[in-house]
Amino acid sequence: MTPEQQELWVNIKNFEIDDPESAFTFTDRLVRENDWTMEFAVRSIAEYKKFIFLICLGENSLTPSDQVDQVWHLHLLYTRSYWIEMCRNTLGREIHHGPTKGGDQEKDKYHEQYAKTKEVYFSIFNEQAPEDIWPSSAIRFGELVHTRINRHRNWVVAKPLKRK
Amino acid sequence: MTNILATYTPAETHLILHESNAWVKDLLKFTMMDLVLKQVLVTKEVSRKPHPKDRARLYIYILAGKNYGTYRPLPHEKIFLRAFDKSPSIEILFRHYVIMCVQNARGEKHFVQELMKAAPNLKPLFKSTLLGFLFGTLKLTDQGESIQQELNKTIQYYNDTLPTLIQQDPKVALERIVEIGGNIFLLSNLDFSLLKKFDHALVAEIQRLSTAGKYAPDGWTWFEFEIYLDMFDSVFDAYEAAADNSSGCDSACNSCGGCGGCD
Repeated sequence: MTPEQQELWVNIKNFEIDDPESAFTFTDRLVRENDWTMEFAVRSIAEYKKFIFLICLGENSLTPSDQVDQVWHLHLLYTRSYWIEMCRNTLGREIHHGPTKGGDQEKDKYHEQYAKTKEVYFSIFNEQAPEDIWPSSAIRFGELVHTRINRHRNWVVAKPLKRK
Repeated sequence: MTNILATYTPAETHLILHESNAWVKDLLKFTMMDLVLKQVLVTKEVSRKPHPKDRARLYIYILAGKNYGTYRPLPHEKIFLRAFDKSPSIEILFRHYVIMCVQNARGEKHFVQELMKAAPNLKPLFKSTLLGFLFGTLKLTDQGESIQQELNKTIQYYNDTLPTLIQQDPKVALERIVEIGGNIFLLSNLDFSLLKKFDHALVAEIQRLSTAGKYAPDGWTWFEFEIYLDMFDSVFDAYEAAADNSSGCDSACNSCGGCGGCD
């Protein structure tokens, strides 16, 4: 990393999404809405910050893992934190979120970008992206069938594990 | 002669002394504070103004400390370090860290029976019974009862002598504190404000005495420990209360959620 990049990374790392005085923080919401553990949520936020930093380097189009994307989606709802405190005050630029337009071409593009993202991650941070937050492309793009379910009215029962 | 308190972590001592009456909250709290005292974990306080119009807010983080890399954790300590094993440079807000440890403990029965009792120095002290297996109750062996008596006597000795010793001979008092490490949190007669007076002397002396680097805290104060102990309790209690009320808190927009509107 160049000194400028290093400075930017420290600023992003030190950027805090959570309000410590809030009874129900951003991280609490992330835990509840995704049924994650606190440990996983906290680590996913750390990975989200790394992803945002990689985007700021601006050399490649990048694609996040679904886990990182969930952090991003939720952060976008906290508009002041996202646009003012992070984009304007910390990064000095706007970062827009662009969902897929669908179709085979887009699918190929995102597959490629996802693989590229993990390569860039390794080259910048000198470590492999953690597998539980940055799973393989097969899992990243093969298991995304999510639906919002009212748990007051429905039970959620896991399917028996698929065995190869 | 080895001080018996030096043999056990504060959570282990507390469990031997109180058996089934030991609260998981206390066991977790003492373990966390002991790891901070050992510099396996460190705390970092940051004051920030998220917005120029806001007043400054205090953010307290838990990080891996300078002894994290070399420390060999006991089974019950591993759950406190797992996040750092996976993400070494992560900084976790105190509140989230406490909740994380409570979740990782997976309940009192699991934490005590599967993690604490599994340690080689605790295994011979507790009987393996059907009641224990089913309900998590604890029963000491003969050896365990003998250790319990000895621990009780030693704690009593420290409770009776340490407060006076701190006033009269701080140097010797500090040597005693270093010997028992995190077990100092278990002393009921110890007034933290008394130790506060000696903060700087304590730090300097502990650093001088800790040649093995086991206890070499940088710049901590007892005042902070007192605050952290209280903070742990309030986060734990709030988390447990929220978990108890969770059946009525499934809606998306209740008192703790929903949209805060636009500026």
